[in-house]
Amino acid sequence: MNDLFDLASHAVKIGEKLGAMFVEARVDDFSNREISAEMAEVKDVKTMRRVGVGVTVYHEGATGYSFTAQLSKKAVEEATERAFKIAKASSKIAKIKVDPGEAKAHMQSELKLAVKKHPQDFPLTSKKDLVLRAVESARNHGKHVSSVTCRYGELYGQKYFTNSEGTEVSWSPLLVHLAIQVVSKTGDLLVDGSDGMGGSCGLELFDMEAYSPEKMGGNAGKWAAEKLTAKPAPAGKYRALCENRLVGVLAHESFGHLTESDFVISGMSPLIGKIGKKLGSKYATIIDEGTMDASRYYGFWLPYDDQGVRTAKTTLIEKGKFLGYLHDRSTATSMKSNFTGNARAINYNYPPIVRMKNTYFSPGDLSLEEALEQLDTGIYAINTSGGQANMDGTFMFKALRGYYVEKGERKYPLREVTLTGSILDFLKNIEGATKDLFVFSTYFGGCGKDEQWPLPVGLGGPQLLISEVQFGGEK
Amino acid sequence: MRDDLDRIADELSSLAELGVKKAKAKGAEESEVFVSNVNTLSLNVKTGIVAARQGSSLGVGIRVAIGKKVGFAATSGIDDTKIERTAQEAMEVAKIRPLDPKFNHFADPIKIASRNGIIDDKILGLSETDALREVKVLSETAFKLDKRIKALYGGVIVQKGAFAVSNSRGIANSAKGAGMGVGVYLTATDQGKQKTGSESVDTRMLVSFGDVSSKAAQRAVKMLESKPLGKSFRTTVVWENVSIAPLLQGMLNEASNARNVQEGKSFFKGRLGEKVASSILTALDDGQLPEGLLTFKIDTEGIPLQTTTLIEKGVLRRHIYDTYSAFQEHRESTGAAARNWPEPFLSTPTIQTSNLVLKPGAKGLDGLVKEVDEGILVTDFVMGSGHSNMTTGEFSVVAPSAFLIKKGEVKNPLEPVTIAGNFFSSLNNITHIGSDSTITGSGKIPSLTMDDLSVSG
Repeated sequence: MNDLFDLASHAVKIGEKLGAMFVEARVDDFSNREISAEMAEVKDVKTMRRVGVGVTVYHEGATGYSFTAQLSKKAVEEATERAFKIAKASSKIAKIKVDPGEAKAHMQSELKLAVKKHPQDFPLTSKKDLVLRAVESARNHGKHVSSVTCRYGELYGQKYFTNSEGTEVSWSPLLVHLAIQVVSKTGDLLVDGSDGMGGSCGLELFDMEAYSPEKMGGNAGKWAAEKLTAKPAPAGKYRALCENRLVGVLAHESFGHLTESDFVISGMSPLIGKIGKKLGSKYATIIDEGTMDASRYYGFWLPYDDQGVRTAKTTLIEKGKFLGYLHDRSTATSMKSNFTGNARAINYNYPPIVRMKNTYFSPGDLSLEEALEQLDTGIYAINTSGGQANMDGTFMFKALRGYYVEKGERKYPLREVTLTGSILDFLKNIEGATKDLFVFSTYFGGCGKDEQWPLPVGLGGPQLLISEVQFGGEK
Repeated sequence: MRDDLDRIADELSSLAELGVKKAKAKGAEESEVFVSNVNTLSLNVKTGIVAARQGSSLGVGIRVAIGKKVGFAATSGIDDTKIERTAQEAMEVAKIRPLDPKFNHFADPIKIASRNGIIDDKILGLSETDALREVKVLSETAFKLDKRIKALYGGVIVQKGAFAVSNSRGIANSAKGAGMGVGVYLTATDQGKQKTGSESVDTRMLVSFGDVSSKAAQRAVKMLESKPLGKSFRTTVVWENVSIAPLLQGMLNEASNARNVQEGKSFFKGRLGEKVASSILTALDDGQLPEGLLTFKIDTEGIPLQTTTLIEKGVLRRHIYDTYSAFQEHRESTGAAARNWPEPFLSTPTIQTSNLVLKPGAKGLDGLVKEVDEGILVTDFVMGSGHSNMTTGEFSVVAPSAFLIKKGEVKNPLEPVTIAGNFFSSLNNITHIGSDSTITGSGKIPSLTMDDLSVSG
């Protein structure tokens, strides 16, 4: 126990005294560091600390959430009273009542991911070196380079949680990320190339050959140069091979969001009533989990969610068959499901809502060569700047680069391209998957939902072969 | 209520002043202290589930300079001890970092008259009970309107706050504001088909929100009749104001950003005085639009917010500057230094448009459609605006709520279509600008028509 835990416990006590049916309180203590460079000049060097207490009060089927950055018992009392007051007022118009259900109390203190080079133990100068090494490599590998921007970001800290059941959990989140963008310019044409890598790990990530600043900087330079002669992707329906990162965004944006149970309880998700139904081909297996094997994958390590629930490994869809939704305590209780540990908040300013953890497609058995051969003629779409899903079942996601492939061979490079369609058609069109599983997370950017952006999540998958997808390029 | 906001602004001003003194005592040659306090009341309904959130996000962000080495540190919460510790951390950062040869000094005061945007006492005085009444109306209206409306997400958000900035060169100023937003996103379902509709109002003045929900419902219900486009072709696109606003603001913001220009990642680099858009296009960065959501007395470096003409009748007139970028060209900042809402203290200033304003034309959306022989009308939100490449201008967005236009008339709604092109080339292909400017977080932007975009579906 420490002072911050005491504050959270105090909130629970006060809330119960006010007459709340259930109270959850947490303290988020996050430290962030960011370094950015433009060409060889270091620009911003920033250090941020965000500590605060947040309290959720359940009263007659509605919730009220309040928070404070002032770490005093008085401030916490005021926040709890405010949360109670707005919960009470809200309960009068709540037609569907929420109930957090029941769970056994559990204790877990100071849970930490074991890493070799925790960013906390390394000075800013060593991180500045990573940034400048990436910039130099980008300049060496680029052509007609107009700009090189490199950013390093890290997040670490402590999370404390307690509730009316007496659960007490504390753990340490961790995220590092190096991202680089190169802009090349000839005449009127501006193009860009980018690479980056992030996840819950120490700085040893950037000691690996594939994610070294030299390799990633070089890639960004090379890929921008390649785009100087690339063509816009053609518009229309094509066969496609989607690379791992793009597949990750697909798993998260296009499918994952539709399985978030707040969209189900409210009657919004197009997946309502589809449990047990065959929604995809036998290559469609999508999993959401909190703690992947950290020695092999680089997602976002999340042992507990923001309701103090141990995160579960949830298979959303298995070999095409739709199995289940992602839950917070209330949705699981209402739908008589198990807790999955998907209640997450970006920081103490916000209440937990149903979010994903690490969401990925399971790998198959193809090599990349075999996948390209099986693609025959179509588009190889690579990397991503994100995507979006709409509750009519439409998805869009964006590849940053790609190749037009003819008879299994890359013919010419493509500029960025949008893939779109109906998710229910898409899952049926998956023809195969490669055997490599790649998972990543990002410090810069993340998942957005309701008011909350950016939330760190893990994304990934193998490379997926798709029989037909709509490309929104230029005609 | 107004007094509360004034009191907060005054408190923040004295804390900022205190920070400058503390930084000096710690050996900073220059310093800039930014403090902010933003109170949010957010109420949302998901079909019948109601959740409420209220609290204040506050903190301090300090930049110090030792020669050409600038350090930044920020922390949530504001009191003497936190300010002291943050100043110390900023100093530690400045000491170990390499110098930035392009840094000169923090902002000098600029004397130009400027004011905060409209602050409505009715918004300041809005209670959670008042706001919940609006939420109730939102959630009930749509379901009553049409039985095919099956699910609804709605929300009311009320924000009020202030920030202050002081620096060692004599800047000592504060700004305040208050506004609210009401929005609905819903689904209509019929015979296995599900469509979405949305509508929102963001405002500094308390207005009637009675028809927000029914407008969203009408949008969704209309789409139930959608048919596939079934082809890819180049055609004319009429964009409703809310559909184009995020893309327009995102692109013009990145290209007009003087730092991007200087660093060689803006399409507008080297094009001042040249024609970059259709001659009917005049675009302003208007930080003094009274009803604009981003109107303040000062920017986040303490420079008065102003009105800057970016593009005048198609000719590129000016970029927007913060202090750092203005130094590179020996000129003054245009008051475009922004930090991220609702915790601006956590970030260093970046260059952003305030309210992007397009000079309106004479005709409404119907008038724009009448001019089109063949094309599509894009309404409501589009997916992927934010994922567009703001550097190169390449975009391809998906419109879930588009319609076919034939001979000046809106025909059937379409299954989602993709619209692609290069935004900066398309600026030259704007043939009509509407009269229906609407206030959003992007600014005040009307509907417009763009020729020759790739549309597929």
